[in-house]
Amino acid sequence: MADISIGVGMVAIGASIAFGLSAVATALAEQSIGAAAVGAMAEKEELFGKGLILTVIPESIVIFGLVVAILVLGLAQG
Amino acid sequence: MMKAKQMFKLTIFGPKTFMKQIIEKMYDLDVVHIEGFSRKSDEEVFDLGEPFETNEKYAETLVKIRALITNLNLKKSDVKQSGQTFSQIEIKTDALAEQVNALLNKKEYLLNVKRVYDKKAVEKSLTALTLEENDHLNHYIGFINTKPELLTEDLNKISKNFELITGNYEGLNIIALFTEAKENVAELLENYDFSPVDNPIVKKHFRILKSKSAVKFVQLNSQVDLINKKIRKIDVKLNEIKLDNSKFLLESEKLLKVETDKAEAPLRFGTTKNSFVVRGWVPKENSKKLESELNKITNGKIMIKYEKPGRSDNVPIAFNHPKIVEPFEAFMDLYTLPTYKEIDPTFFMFLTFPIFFGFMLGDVGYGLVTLILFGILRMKMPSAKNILNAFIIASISAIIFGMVFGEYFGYEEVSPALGKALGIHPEEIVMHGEQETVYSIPRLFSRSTQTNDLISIAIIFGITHIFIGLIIGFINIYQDHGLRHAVMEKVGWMLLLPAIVWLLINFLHIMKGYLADIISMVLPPLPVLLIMAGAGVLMIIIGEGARGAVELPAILSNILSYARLMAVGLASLSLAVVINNMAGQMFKSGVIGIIAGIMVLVIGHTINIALGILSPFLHALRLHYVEFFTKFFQGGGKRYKSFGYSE
Repeated sequence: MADISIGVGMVAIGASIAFGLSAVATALAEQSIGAAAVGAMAEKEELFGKGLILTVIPESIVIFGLVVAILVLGLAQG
Repeated sequence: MMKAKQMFKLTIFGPKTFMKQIIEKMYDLDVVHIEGFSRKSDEEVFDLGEPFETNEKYAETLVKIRALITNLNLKKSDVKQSGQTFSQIEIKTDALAEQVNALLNKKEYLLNVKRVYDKKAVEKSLTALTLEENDHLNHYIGFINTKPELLTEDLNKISKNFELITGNYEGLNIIALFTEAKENVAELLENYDFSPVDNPIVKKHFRILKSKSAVKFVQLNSQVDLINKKIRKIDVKLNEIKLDNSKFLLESEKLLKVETDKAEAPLRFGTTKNSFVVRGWVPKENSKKLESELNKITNGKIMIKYEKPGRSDNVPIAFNHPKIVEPFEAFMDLYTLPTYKEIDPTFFMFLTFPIFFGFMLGDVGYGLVTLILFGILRMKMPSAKNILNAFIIASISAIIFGMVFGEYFGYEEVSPALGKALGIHPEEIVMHGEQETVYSIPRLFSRSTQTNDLISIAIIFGITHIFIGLIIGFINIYQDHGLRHAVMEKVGWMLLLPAIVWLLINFLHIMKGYLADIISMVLPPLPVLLIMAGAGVLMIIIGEGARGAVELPAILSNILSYARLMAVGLASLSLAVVINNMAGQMFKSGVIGIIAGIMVLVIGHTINIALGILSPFLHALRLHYVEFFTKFFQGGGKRYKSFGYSE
């Protein structure tokens, strides 16, 4: 294994927390929308497109999590 | 290609005497999308039309034929229309239906009896009977395949000296018949598929019973065998009927469907006592032919009027694509069809969907497997041909990207011996702190090592995609509301894009590597960018109001969303590498290791391919539906369905 200083390790943990927690948050937000969207689709199949869009709206949370993770990782290099 | 087929609004008005001929002709030409007539007010001159008288009997026979098709488990195939007359079809269908129903009833009864025998529920079934002491006659106790009343009638013809007690157990008719055992009684019962209950069981249940069993002692097992034999016989018979009549049934179904379609057509017409009116839509390219053909058969005695669609008309959508783009229409069906005025995005999906899919899957081996898989599925399921064709195009794209990335089932390098033999230039890399020499398969771009460039490429894809979306949106709004609205609503967003690129490179450091360097050279200086962005924001707020202001950050997350192109691909690659390494370790440890290693490879790659189809498919689709379509697409069109054979 390559030598990793404690500082860099902390940065890595920080980045993964930023990404991981935002992913969990997205999942929590999407679960109820997804359930409702599938329910609506069962009634009316044409709603697939609208349902999909509504379901993935919270995904911006995890994308911002990714951005923060990349920013944090930048600390290790800089 | 960019728009749905041009349509004309059609109105045909004529005397009722021509109605039948016109319906026949329209059906043959198969170009008119009939708009159902609806009575808007009581003052309306026209009433809803009535179906032709023939409809009722056609429909009745059609239902019978369809029931037969289902019961005989006939596969629908492309057949010609039957050439027989309706009365021929009707007679034959009735006879067939009677025969098949009798067989099916018998089979159901036998299956029921078998079920009772199998469950050893025989004794329980006897509780359905109440018997009294009786010692001077013989008894038949068991199940029959008919209503007991019918049996009573038949028995009366043979002898008066009998007593019949009946009951019902779980839908099965159970009887206890006391009579002097006679040959013809046994024969009669056989006609009703009499299945006796074992005498010891009877005796055990009805201890008071003194009479003898008329049937010899039988074992349940042999009874079940007998029933199985009977069921098999029925199946053989049904199969014979199926083979003999499948052509007749399918062809007749087709004929009757066409005839009922035609006979029911007037339901969509408006009629008065002596005249009728049809409204609908015809593609411009077919309009001339329709007009001349209809005038020919009626000697010009009807009125045909074409109009250009008005603003408020809900014009049906007929896609207008070259054959290779057609598979992607399925994705529009899944979402919503474009409206008549909008630009039809199917062509853009054809361009970008395979690129995104291939970019994410990006492995020659996986691409070949999915290509073969979808090829086989396409042969097996002709009904899903369209969407599978789209997948085949996507798989080919995955193979091409696999060559670009130099990935073959996750392997990016060959063993030193093979590498030297092929004359591949060796590379020195540092892996886990150790110097290694690897022989990489030739490639243009390495996903595993050039991660920074990979994310830059993904983001550039995203910006381009969104930019195209904004251009289409501009054209849509320009055509619908004029230049001022188009500029305000879409150019504002376009002006914002360069500033976002600057942000991604210099502030968020998400775009790195040589691509980012090239782009930052092309970007105008910061003050210019800021002025552009400021103007853009102003235009968005003026053009779209508060909603636009709220959505401002969304453009950033839209663009970053394309980072998934990199992420999904890398995840799939990493998984493949892990599988290969695990198997590689196992291969070093003897025979068992090799077997286990092969299993790891097969199972691992199967799972990874399954994920590799699902995940890139969903993500590519999502990038289109959410990020791309929201820039321009309204949707809500209805499909063009022509009245005729294709319906």
